[in-house]
Amino acid sequence: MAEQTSPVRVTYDYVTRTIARTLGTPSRGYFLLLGAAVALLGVGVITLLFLLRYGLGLAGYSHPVYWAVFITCFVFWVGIAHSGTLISAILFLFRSGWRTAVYRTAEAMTVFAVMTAGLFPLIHIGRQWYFYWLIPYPNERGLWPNFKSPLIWDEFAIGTYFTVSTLFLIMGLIPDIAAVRDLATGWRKKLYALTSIGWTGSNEQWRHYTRGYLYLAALATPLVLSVHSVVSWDFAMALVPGWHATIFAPYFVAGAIYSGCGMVITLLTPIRRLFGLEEIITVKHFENLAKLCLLTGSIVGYAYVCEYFIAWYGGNPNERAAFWYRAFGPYWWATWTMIICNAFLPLLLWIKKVRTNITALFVISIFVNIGMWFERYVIIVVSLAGEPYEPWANAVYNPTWADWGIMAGSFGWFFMWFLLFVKNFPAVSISEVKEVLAPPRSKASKAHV
Amino acid sequence: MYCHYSAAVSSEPGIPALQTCIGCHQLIGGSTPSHQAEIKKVRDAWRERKPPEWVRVHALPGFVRFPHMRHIKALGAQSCATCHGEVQRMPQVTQVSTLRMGWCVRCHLAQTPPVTRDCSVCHY
Amino acid sequence: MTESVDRRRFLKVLGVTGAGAAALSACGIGPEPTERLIPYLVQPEDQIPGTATYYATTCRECAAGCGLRVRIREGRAVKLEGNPDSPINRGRLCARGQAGLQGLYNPDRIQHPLVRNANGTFDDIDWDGAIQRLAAKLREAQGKGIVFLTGAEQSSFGDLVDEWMKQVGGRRLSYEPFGFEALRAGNRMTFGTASLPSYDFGNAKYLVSFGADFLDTWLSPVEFQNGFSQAHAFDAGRPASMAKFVFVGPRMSLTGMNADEWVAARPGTEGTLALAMAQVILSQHLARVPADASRLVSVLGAYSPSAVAQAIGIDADTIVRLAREFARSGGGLAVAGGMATQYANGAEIVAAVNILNYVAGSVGSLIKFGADLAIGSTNTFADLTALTSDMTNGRVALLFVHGTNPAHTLPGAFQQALGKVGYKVSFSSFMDETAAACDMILPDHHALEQWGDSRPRAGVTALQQPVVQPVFDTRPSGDVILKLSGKTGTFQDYLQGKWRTRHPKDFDQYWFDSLEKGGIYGEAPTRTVRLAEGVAKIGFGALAAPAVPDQQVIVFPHPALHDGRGANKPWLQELPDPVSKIAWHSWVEVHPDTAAKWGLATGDFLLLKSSFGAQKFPAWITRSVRPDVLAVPTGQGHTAYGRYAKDRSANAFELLGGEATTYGGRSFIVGATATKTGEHRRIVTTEGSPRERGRGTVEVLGLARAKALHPGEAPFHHEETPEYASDAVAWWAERQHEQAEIGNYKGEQPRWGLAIDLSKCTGCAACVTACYAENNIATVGEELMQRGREMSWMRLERYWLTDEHGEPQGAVNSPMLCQQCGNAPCEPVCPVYAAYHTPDGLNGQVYNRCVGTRYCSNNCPYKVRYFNWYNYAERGGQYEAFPEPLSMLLNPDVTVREKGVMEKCTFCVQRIRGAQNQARLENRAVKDGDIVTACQQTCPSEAIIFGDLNDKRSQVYELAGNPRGYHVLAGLNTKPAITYLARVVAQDTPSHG
Repeated sequence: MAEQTSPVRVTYDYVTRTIARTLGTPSRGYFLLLGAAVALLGVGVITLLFLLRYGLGLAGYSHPVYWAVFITCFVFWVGIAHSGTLISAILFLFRSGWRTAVYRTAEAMTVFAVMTAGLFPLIHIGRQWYFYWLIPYPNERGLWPNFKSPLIWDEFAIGTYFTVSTLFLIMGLIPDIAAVRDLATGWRKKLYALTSIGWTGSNEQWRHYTRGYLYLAALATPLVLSVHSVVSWDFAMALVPGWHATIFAPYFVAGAIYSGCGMVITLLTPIRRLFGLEEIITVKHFENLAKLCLLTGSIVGYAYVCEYFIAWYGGNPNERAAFWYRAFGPYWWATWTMIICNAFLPLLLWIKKVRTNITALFVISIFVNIGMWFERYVIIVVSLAGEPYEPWANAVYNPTWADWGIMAGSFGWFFMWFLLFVKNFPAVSISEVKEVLAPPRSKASKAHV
Repeated sequence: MYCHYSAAVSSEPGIPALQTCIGCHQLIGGSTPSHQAEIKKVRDAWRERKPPEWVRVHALPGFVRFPHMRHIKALGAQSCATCHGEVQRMPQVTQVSTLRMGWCVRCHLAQTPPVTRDCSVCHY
Repeated sequence: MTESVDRRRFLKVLGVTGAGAAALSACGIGPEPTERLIPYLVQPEDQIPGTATYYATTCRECAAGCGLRVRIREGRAVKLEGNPDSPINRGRLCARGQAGLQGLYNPDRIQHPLVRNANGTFDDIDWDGAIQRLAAKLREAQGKGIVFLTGAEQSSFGDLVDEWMKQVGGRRLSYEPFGFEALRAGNRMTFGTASLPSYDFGNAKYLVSFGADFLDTWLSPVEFQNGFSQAHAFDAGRPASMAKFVFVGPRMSLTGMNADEWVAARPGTEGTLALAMAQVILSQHLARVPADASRLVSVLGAYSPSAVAQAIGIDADTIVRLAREFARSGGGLAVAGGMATQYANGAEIVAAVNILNYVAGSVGSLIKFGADLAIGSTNTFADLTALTSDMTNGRVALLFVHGTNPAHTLPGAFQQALGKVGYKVSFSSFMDETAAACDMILPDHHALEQWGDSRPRAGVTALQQPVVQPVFDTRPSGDVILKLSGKTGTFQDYLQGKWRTRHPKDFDQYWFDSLEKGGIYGEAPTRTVRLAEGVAKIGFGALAAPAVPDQQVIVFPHPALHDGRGANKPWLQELPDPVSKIAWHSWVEVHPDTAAKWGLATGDFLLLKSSFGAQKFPAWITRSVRPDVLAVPTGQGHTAYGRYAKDRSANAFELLGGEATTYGGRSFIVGATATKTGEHRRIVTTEGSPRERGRGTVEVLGLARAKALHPGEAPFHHEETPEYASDAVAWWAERQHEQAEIGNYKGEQPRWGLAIDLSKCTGCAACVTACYAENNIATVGEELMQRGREMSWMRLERYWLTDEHGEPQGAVNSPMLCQQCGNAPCEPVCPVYAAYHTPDGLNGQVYNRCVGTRYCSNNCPYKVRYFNWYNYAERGGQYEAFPEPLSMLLNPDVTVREKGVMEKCTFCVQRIRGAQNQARLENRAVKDGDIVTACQQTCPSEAIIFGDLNDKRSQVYELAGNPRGYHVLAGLNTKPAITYLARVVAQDTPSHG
């Protein structure tokens, strides 16, 4: 953080205080946001009740478009979940110091995003009350799920990812909770005392802690690649023109990280402003996130080109028709939204001015999120609707209030958790930020290692 | 087999018509008072030409097919007890087997050679 | 059927013993509610619980008189099938016949007698009360004019009515909206006989239809279609097989779609073409012309191709070519009907076509007088208009209406006339437009509930027996009439009396046999006809195209709803029209050029205003109609007639005039102004891409190419794996094979398969309705169908065949259903094994295991899996498909699917298991032919064959090896169990898509 010139001198004590301040009594603005989130969630819950009572027919599905907005949201949220682990685990292993200020938010986002994504497979199935048939458990009938089905792989991938990322989040929290514990009073003190599981910060604990954290990071790393690869196979394993492509796994992973970073920026910007963390979450951090966006965005762009090229080069009439339909069929608007937001917009990030302008980044990040949502919409809906092998069976699909209701609910659900989190737990890692500060006594600070 | 006359030839065993019941219970009045009371009901019903309402004891869900004749063909005319128990010894008929899928399948596999466990044999 | 328990208890019994049809319980959790079982009082001796019994009777959905075999389970009629003994339909049935059940169990049936009260509404009344009241009315009306109006009734019931009318000094009229006056007039002109001959399509070698839709609405569709497919199907076994079929008419109908060539003659000039062809045949001595045909030379002189080509709108060479082909085929059959016989000059057109047949020598060989079709003896439209004027002038004091609905088919005139009639009595069992205007309704039994007979053609008398207990408190009209006429006994006695006279000695045996066979089927002696004296004097001058200032609008009968009588049956409403693929509403067919001229898009409303009435129809833009013609179907636009028909779309009859043509018929072409209203609707259509675009879904062969095929050849064999991948695929196939030997999958198992001959399939969609009936498929209604939610397991894909100018020359119809792939994409992706492979090679679908991820459908390249978006079986639900008592026709052998479950065709697995159970009982193996799927059973053109592909002696095995055979999307290596046999067309350069 050498190039950062800050009016106040960022000291250990400053860090603790500023971050602890985020836990102070919530402002009206906070409650408004929380209220909004809960309201959205309410919309989702009511919609779900309708779906349960009357059936999925309330949503916009039409033969043969049997997957649509719900699955789109599912993939979208799983994607969002990605940057969390990337930033916390992989960047940790690479010892990139800048992660410290942002990884907590990213991780929290990850956990909540997975929690959101996890709901969709349950919501979108026809007989939701039988969801447990998807889980392998010994039963009287002697029946098991079909382990050949990508949906079952999904289940495991998401399950694992959720477990590990939650552990990761909690573990990272321990020292910080301890820190705020010592400042907090009342029920909070009890809560922190409990959740910090007797952390005293002794050398002994620190040694074990860092070791454990390292291993967990190592364990989490492959997940970043595996989870979204598996999700992508839901599609790649099917023979639908536009789905059946070997590029899907890397393509999806890149896209996921891209959308993840986008979401991190979207979330950090307001938090930073609200909690006055300008000194701790600096422009530097945003710039680095932006670079990550640029990288992954470019990969996504490359994947688009690849898809179209192979569709043409492969010479399969169905593939060709499918991609022609994508670009120039009735859904052209969705396709071009996706291409512009994901392939062209990030190119702005080559410009340092843009990279370092938080407002610009915030706006771009919003478009990144929109673009990535549409990417999934295009892949799922447009591939199913437009050019099936059977020329007779094509359809035009339009979402209904039920689709939007559930989608709104998912956002409500996500933001509700997120807001609750940032108010009750340190949204920025106190201990790790300190690690990268120049210690009071003049010594080589880790940051420059 | 006399009462549920179609069990050996059809998938449904059929509910014996009141006439069938009376066929015997015209003569058989029952030994114990309780029996007599029950049989009287049947006779009264016949006199009033008003069939009684039996309570269904053995019920399968609508999506399961159980062709009785196939099972009787395979296991013999005395095999009713395999699933229904010793009905003739029951003061009041009760369900002795779970009639759940696992129970069906176990029996299918216990046969030599094992009987198919293909889903579409029972579910369509 | 049997003297059994009373109806209410009867229903309860069914409720329980028919448990097979119970819906999947909503959550499957928790104990089932305690069921009560109500036994029969006396066991009906012909009923075995859980086993179907079949009764022979007669279909009364139209006048063709097809024989039925009704499947009865626990006293409920659950399926109608054709009676193989009947010479009319030979065991086959059309969609309308199949849907007869929905008439029987229709929720909108009138359940008891009704009588109009002072303030114009209906009150319930008991039968005796009603009959007394009517008897009084009858006495009053004596001498003041009593009329009994029936539908086409060539039956003992008709006789009874005649007798009764004679007794009370009234008269009887029979009325069919689409009558055959022109045919009779034309025949009288040419042959001096007004009767309708029988047509032998089966042995024709060349077919020309002048407007006659003999495959769907004309005379006896099932019989004709059966014959047509014999003549027109490609069969390498038969030398010079496949009669070429030419369709002449301004609009391509279902029949037209099956033509090898479509001659879109200018409306009204069909006859001219026929005469021109006759002229060529005569002048060029192309056929052994009967001696007396010389008289025609003078007449035909004026009709040389060059002279008339202009008027007809085709070039002269075509006419000459057609004439040559027709005569040289040595078995040319030309029929005039449908549109061509509904112009003002319809009779002359028929006469012209008769002449063509006569000079070609077909009269007497393929067209036989003697075995006359009885429908010809219904009264003419002129008689009805006469009646109408009598009514208007108060010359009718008492009117009875039975089995016809003139208030719908003659909206203006008849409606008003009804008001002038003293007392009106309807025997309709539905509240149709006519019944709604009557003073008393004495609901008749449904045809399946009562005795009766019908004489569709000379020599054939089909017997009709009650196969189920009456559903409601209705009465056979025969009984009512007998009571009114003071005779004793029921109509059954009357009927038997009539039959006794025919065969007095050991009558009981005779009666029993007739009941078993479904009637008596004799051959009537043919009589030869000669040209009538006046033939030379027929005023063919009128043949030049009538110059109509406005747009000409053709009103044609809807293939499924016909004149509107089918509109109250959801199966028929949901059945897409074979040509337009539109369901649940009517439409107007507009040629693209016309549409471009008016700036019209599909779905835009056109207001058609004729001098008689105006109606709005949404446009369907298609090349299957002439640019100078608009075409609208009848059938919709009811103002009454129950929940499925009422207030739906527009009634095309409104556009038509009420006065009779010169030949006593009705003109179904009318001049009208067409104006765009600016309204728009989304058309309810199942049509996806109308072009096949070479995706390998349908294959078409030219006749020459097809004939050149020799056994073992495989023109459609696709190289499924590229060279470089072959090793890998081979290895993979081996593993697959090993897998297929494990557990259930080892040992001898059949592989169920289907063969569908596209050169036979006409696209009539009888199979679709049969599938609905057999498999408890829910009808979802207009709103949901518009959103692509229809459940039809079997759909007919209609891909246009076009000539080099892109003009449609017929279409290929391909029934698309689950292909039961040997290597099915749907199976591996199902997370719960609800979709899985059965040992006998089906793609099993376990409804009660399905959780509804819908992955299987995404991965199905054929898109033949359908999802239950709502609970269509929910009592009183918004989308309830089987409202009481419609639920009584549910097949107890098939689970009714609940919401959230995927469903699809499983080759009627319930029939497979049934046959296997039966065979096991009889200690034998299942034989080829034991199992007949619902679609195969009903197919009038016998295009579908089911069987075991592992059985080398089975019919399906043989067909699967046919060189014309191909698999849809074979390139995906799904190994389908359905083999399609390529469509063969007479032109040698077919193009599709």
